[in-house]
Amino acid sequence: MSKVSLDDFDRSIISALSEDARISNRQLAAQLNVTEGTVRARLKRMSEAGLVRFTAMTNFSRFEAMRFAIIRIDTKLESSRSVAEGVAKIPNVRSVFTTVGDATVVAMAAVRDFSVDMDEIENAVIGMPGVRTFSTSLTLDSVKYNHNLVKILPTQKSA
Amino acid sequence: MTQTPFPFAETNEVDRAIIDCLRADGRASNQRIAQQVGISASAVGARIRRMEADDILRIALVADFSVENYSLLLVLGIKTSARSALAVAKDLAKLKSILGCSVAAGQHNIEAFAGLTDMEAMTGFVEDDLASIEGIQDVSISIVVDMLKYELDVVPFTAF
Repeated sequence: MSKVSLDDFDRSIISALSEDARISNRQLAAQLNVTEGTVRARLKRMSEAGLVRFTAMTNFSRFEAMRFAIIRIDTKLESSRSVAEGVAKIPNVRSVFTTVGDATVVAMAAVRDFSVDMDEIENAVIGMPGVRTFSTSLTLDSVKYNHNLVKILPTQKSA
Repeated sequence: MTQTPFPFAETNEVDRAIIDCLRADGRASNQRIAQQVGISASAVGARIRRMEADDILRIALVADFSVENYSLLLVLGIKTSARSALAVAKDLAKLKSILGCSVAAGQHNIEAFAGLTDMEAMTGFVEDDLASIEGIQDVSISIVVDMLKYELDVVPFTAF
């Protein structure tokens, strides 16, 4: 994705801020024994390369009855991109991938009122050209979740 | 691409607008958020502190998968047999390559997401790691080609 390579110092910045992103650059610099300018410059470089970003996480456990639905769509190969783009526009869809293997498009949607929310998604998908079949799983209990690693899209790189 | 709007019962419209600003930039200043949201900067600060104290919100630094050199990302759907899905999911969770897994209902009874550095790692993952877990009857694997959208910032806070 990017040609910027990370050294141990970059990784210690990432590690510290992954634990608690509220600390300031100044506090972090003191912790790592460098100047604030150094921390700022490294963060700027990594953000501009799309390697890290600051964001807000909200607590899934506080939603009542919120679950994730995993939707696998099998499309004609030449339609996978356009179907994925169409699925990305559906409200409640939080992630969309084109894939090879069992499906050609995989999406994850946040659903609360399962039948209503899934009905909306299914109706949208069924109408798309190139869609052959699709299936859904509903997550019940999250056993592991690495929230630190994400896909940072080109549109999310800092200016 | 615009962000998916954020529904959340314990917050009001203003809180949600603040959250949306922070989702786009977790280090946005209170002043900047205030301009967008239409309340004072100090009110913004107070609301953020309240949401953090109530464990609704956390500012986080996230890193791209490439930072860990994960060039292969897999979506796995697993059917279990002769063993509870939860027990199998807990065994899966011990694997470093498994970035997330959940017990599920529907097409599969476990849904998981894995990151691998290359095809060689894939061989070890499939033939050693997965093969050694009891109770996996069937694995469906989809290899990610491209990610068009990724807004999985609603997370179980127990993961922190």
